[in-house]
Amino acid sequence: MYFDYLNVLIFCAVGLGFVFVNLIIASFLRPKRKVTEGLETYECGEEPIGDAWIQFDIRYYTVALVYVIFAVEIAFLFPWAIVLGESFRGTGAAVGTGIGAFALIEGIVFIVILFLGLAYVWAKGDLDWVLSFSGPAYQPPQERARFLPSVHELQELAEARNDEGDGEGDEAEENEEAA
Amino acid sequence: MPVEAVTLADTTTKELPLLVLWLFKAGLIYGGLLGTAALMTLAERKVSAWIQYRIGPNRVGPWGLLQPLADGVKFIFKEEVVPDGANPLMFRLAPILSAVPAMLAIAVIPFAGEVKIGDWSFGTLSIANLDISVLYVGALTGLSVYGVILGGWSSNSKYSLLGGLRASAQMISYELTLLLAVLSVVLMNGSLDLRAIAADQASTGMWNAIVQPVAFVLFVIAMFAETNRHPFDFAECEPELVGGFHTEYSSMKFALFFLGEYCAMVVMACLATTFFLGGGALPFIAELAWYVELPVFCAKASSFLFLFLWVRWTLPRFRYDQLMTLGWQVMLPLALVNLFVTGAVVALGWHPLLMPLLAIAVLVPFALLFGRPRPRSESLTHEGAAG
Repeated sequence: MYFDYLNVLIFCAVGLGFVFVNLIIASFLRPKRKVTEGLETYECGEEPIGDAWIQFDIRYYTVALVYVIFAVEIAFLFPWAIVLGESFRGTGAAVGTGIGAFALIEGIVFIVILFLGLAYVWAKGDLDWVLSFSGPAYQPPQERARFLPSVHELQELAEARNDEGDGEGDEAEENEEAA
Repeated sequence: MPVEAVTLADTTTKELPLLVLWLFKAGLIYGGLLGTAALMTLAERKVSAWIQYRIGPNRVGPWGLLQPLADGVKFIFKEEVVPDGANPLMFRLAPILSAVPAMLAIAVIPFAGEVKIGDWSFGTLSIANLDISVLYVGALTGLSVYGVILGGWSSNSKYSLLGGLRASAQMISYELTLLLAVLSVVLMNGSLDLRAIAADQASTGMWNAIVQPVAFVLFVIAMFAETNRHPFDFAECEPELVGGFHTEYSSMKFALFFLGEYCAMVVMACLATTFFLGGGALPFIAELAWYVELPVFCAKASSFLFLFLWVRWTLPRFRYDQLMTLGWQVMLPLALVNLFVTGAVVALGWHPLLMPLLAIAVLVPFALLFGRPRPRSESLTHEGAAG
């Protein structure tokens, strides 16, 4: 049995040897030109601005976290599957321990708890990659900000100042007209 | 199902020295694996040519058969570029981490049983007969994500980073489904040993493709996503990300990524054969000699390999949100429910053929009710940054 693990180790060594021999042969045969232009990061001909090591979308972390939880779950379920099969089929080491029904119920509880976890993440919307937005659509501002007001606007402003005294009365009249 | 340990010292038959035998087998299996991977690069171009009504490569050797060799020589003679901003150690490590685990997983595949030629006994036609080969395979497929994410991150290129991130999120999402599908198989056949799983299917005559149809479909879909193949090839995604995680790679390092991808395909095809098509078994025939088993196994694995190519040149690529929705909201719950049902069937001692009937009775109406395509406008408005 343990010979087989040694066997895998030898297989691994042969594989690594193959890879490294290829890399070493290539390093002897390939041309070496030291041209700085070729060493730039590729960005379709644009000059790259800054590093690529930036903050990226938080949802990748969420996915990774949920993955870790489920991967651990699956690691626990492998022995469970073996014991369950053995106890109900009547072969192997789990026979006669009376673990069958208990293991089945325990396994179901375990799966259901983790399923609830998935349902929670799902309901929170962390599994939806397209973020939906339910409010009104974004409207760009209509008026452009200007540094100086135009002559027309200055005239309007002056008229507004003259009318300031009876401003409230005007508004009330307008409201009545609109009604 | 217990499998007898291979007797290393048999008195009646002659054997090679152990180390020679191991190295010989390792060479044989590596030769087969790398040869198949090399032929797959040619087959990809040939099949795409046939599908698109072209001729394909036909200049190097008869039918272009020596094309992979020419490609390899060209890779060796290409200049290598390590970009200025890259992390040099990780940049050099990533291709190795991508290629080696993909190749190692083939060590536990049981291609055929005991090989005997005349008086000479060579043991079983697989590198190692581990009791927990399913866990070994799971561990190595889990390692394959490192090559992609490290390659993408260490290049310090925006395209590479996005490709690597996307691909790693995709691979870990679908790995869960893959492992859960395998877990159903383990529950069904009652072993963590690939040999025993194949032998159990061969002896009962009920291959898991028939008695575990849901797990089979899930495994095949997850297999495409795990190897970053169409329609899930978000790692590369040529129109969007130039080359994805290997944008900055050239020369032999690029070749290693390429090799890793094709080796992973071969391994996945072999795994699907072992898990779901009964390994080297033929229906209604109990015992087969190794020289029958090996071609049968290769034929089954080749059909999966052809499926890889066929799908690539037939289906369009998914959108990233569709990929995540399918993986987390459809396939993962389905795999959990399938595991649950399988456990119940095993515990109640029902006939395994109940599983496909149940699957058809439940899933077909479900798919007809809820499986309508989403209206286009709903999924495309107010789209966030998807990647």
